[in-house]
Amino acid sequence: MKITTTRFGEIDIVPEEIVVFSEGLLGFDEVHRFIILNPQDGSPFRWLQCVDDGDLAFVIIEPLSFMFAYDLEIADADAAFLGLEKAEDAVLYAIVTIPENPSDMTANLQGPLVINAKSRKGRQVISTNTQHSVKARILDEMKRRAEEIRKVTESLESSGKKEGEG
Amino acid sequence: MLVLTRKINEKIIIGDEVEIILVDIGKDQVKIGINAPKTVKVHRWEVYEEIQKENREAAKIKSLDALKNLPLDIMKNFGKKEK
Repeated sequence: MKITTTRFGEIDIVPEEIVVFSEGLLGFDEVHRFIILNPQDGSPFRWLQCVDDGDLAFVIIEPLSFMFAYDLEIADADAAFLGLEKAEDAVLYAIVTIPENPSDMTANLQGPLVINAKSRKGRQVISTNTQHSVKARILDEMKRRAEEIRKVTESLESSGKKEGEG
Repeated sequence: MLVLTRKINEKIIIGDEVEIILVDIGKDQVKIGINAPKTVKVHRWEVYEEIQKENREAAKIKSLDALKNLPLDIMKNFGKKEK
């Protein structure tokens, strides 16, 4: 199936890979079908390209690719809406905003996208966790993540629990 | 718009299942209790508005070229395992 987009020209997509946000995204409730485009360069950023409107696309990122932890409690209503039976079936993305200075780029952790990988249904949910900002600074989160990883590594080493890794 | 006057502990019902109760009245704010089925989404309006605004802002990005100007070691620190 071919679609015409502003950013990527004409692209060939697999209809089975379409994710349906039947309510649209907040502020964009009239469009429902999206496709996730993966970059070839190993970058953690993805494009959420709208199938219904070739002009519309968002940059998205999985929170755990730049955060140490992202605890999202998926409300019963959202799980029911998505037909989510197991947490493992949920794929999470945050929408990215890049201002003029790209170092100030942020991810929207308060309104994450939850996708049921099995049914390919999606919804932009609202996190009730007050720690989740609409504008979480990605580079700051990465520093925090590196720091946390360093701490964990150190404590493992100091307690002498150096076990061989596979 | 329908405007109703209520006293503390008085309720409003919307549809058959959503119940709203006026819990308390302060100087310049009121506390409202909401009983609704779990399938009904209830949020403060500002949160909705803020996320809408952020989505509109995010939709303006035309390419990821700007990220090429970031120091390379930053990109390397992203957590994705490379195959």
